[in-house]
Amino acid sequence: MLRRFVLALCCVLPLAATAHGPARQKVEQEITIKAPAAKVWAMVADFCAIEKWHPGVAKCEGTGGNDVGATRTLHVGKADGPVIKEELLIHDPEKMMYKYKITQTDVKILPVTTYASFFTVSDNGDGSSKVVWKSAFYRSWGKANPPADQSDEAAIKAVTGTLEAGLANLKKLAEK
Amino acid sequence: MRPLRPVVRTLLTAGALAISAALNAAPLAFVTNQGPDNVTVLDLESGKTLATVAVDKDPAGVAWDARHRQIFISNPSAGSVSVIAADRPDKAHSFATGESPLGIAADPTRDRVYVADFYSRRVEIFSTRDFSRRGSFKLGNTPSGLAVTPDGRWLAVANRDDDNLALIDLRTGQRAARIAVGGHPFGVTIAPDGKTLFTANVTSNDVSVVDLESRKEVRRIKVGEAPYASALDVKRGQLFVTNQQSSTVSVVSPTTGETLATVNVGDYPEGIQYSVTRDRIYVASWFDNALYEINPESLKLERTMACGDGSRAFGSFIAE
Repeated sequence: MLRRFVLALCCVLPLAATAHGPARQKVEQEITIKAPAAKVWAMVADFCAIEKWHPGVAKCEGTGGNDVGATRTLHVGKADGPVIKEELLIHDPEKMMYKYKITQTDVKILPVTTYASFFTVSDNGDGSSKVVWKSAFYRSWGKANPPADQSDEAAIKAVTGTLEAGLANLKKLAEK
Repeated sequence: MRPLRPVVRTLLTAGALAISAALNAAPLAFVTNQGPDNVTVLDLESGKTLATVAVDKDPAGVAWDARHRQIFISNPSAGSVSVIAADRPDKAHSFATGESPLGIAADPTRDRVYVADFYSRRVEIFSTRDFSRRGSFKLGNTPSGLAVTPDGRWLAVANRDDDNLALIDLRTGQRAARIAVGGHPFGVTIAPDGKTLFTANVTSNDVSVVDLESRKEVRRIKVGEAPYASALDVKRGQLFVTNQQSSTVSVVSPTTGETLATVNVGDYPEGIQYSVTRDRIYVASWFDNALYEINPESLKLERTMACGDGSRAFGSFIAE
C-alpha cells in the first residue's frame, strides 16, 4: 500500500466533494500499542503531527492549530507529492479523540469523496493503549459502473492501506 | 389422507393466525444492513430480533406497504428490490429494477410502489401485487428520498443534486411543481395531515419546511452537520432530524423553527421514524450498527438494539 503513496503523479484532479454514489463505505482499523495512552495521544494530538508519524505523509502544512475548522495540507510520498487537504471537525483532548474530513483529494491515490474519520486513543488500563481510526466515505466515482480504480473496492483498499500504514508506524514509534 | 385435510387446513390456519396475531401485537422494525446484505427484523415492544432476512447487495431503502402488509427493500448495488411479508418475515423475494434503486415508498391508496433510481433521473413504478413494472416518472438529478401524501394524490421526490423537490400528480402522472429547497435534499417526510413536508438538506445543514398547498418552502431550520432524514412526532409536533456528521439527532419545532434539544446517538445516524403505537422515535446508526429508541417526551435515548453492519433504514421501516 505504501507504494501508492510514493507514486509520483501528474495531472492531479481535485474532486467535486458532493457528487457521490448511494452506498457509503466504512473502514475501521485498530491497534494495541505498548505505551501509555497519554504518551500516544501526545504524539498524535496536534492535527499536523501526522507528518511525524504517518509514513505516507512527507509534509504537512497546517492552519488554525487544533481549533475546529483548522486545516492541514498533506503532501503524500514526498514534499512536492500529491496533495490531500483536510479540515478538523472535532478536537477533544479529554476523550483523546479528533474528527476530520477530507476537503480535497487526488483520486489517483485516494479515490474517495465525502470522507470523514474519527481518530481515538484509549487507555487499556494495563499500561498499554488502543488506537482506533475509523473512516466513512463514498467512492469517488459518482455515477453507475465505476472504472476499477474508482470502484467501492478500490476506495476501501486505498483507505485501508492508509490507515494500516499509519497505525503500524505509530506503534513502532511509540514503542521505541 | 382425504379425511384429514380439513383438520390439517384448520391447524395450518390456526397456526398462521397465531403467528399473525403475535406479530400484529407489536410494531416491527425492518432495518437494512449494508454490510451483510440483510435485514434485521426487530420487535419494538421486546426489543428482540425476530429474524434476519437475506436480501441483495447493499440494502438501503425501506418502504412499508400497509395495504398488503409487506416491506420493500431497495438494493442499490444489485439493481433490485426485495419484498418481505411482514407477518412471515422469514425470507425475501427479489425483482429487478433500474441500476441504482435507493429511495422507495408504497402508495397508501393504490397497488403501487415507487422506486427512485439514483443515477437515471427516474422514479420507477411497480405493482405491489405481482411486482411487474408499470412505467416510470421523469425526475431531476439523483432522485433520493420520496414520499406519498396520505390521500395518494401527490408523490414528492427530492432531486438531490438540483436542490429541489418535485411534486408529481399521481392521478395524471404529470409533474405539477418543482419547489426550491436547501442544499442537497435527501430524506423526505410528509406530515400525516398531508399539508406539510420536510426535506433534510445535506449540504446546507438545515431542514426545509414546505407547505404543500401553496407549494412553497415556508421555513428553513438549522440543524447539525449533514442532515439525512426526519421524523415527525405527531403527538407533540416536534421534528426529529438525523445529523450524519454530528452523530446527533436535532429536535426542532417546525412551526417556530426553534431548536428544542440535541440528542447524542451513534455515529452516522441515518433512517429515522416515529412509531405512533409506541410513541417513540427510532434511529438507525450506520457506523455503530444499531437501532436507537428515543423517548420524545423526555428526549432521552432509552434503548439500543443491535443490528447488522451498516444499519441504514432509509424510509418507512416500521410496520404498524
